[in-house]
Amino acid sequence: MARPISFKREFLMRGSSFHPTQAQELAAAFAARRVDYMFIGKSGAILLGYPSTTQDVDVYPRKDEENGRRIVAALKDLGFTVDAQLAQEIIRGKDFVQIKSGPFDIDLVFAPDGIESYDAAKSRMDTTTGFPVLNIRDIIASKRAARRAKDAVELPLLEAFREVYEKRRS
Amino acid sequence: MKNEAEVIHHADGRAESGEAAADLLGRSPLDNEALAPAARRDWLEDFKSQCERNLARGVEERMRYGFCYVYKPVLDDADWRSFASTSEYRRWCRDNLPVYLGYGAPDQLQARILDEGQ
Repeated sequence: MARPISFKREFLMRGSSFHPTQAQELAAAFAARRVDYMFIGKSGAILLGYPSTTQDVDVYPRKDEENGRRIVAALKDLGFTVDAQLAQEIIRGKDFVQIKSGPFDIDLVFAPDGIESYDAAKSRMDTTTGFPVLNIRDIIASKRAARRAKDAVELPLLEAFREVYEKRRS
Repeated sequence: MKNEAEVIHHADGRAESGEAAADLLGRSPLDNEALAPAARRDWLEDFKSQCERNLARGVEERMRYGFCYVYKPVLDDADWRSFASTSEYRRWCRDNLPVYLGYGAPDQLQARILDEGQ
């Protein structure tokens, strides 16, 4: 059974501290700590120009302990509460870590669906926005591989966006 | 499937039904198998125009319009959670989240859409 929504959680933490430049703040903190990562998922597509909305930032970090320690430091810089257990999970590189204890929600996806390797994906990375973003084709491949009901709504739109995006860039 | 039950009544007395009503209700024509191919193309062209407009915006503006918080039951009710594998996470979503959030397995039509273009 779902737990009741706490007043603090829904209204104080989210309402007052949320603002829309979260990707920018995250990028600055990750750059300062030299985190090796890319934006992925819908948040990555939105940075590229996909006209839609999301509430969390999805990040695909390189899976190694040193990078994990850098992520922990960067998240603390951003104001996330990172207890010892969470820090360990990040440093160990659990495949999927979802964090909601900070100014915005972040998913650390160390092993996204449909992506064969970090290095291969990074070689196709899109940096045209100034942010490290997974290539739009990889974002689509990953969503397709996730096979969730909500992705069936998103995929035709993402494909249409990709057509426009690539045509504009060619 | 026809949307005959959906009727939009305008202030001037006009009424719209079927596909026109579905469009007015904001339903994605991509969800409607019965939609005429021409209408489907029109809808996609509209979306592509929207893409063009958004691409003309700066990244900061895209962020301003693209990131917004909407409470998601269960999913948002823990400070953090971790999973040994992405498939374990998908399974957790299927088993624990309300179906309407869309994290569950696709139905037949959704599966077909996901398989298109592979």
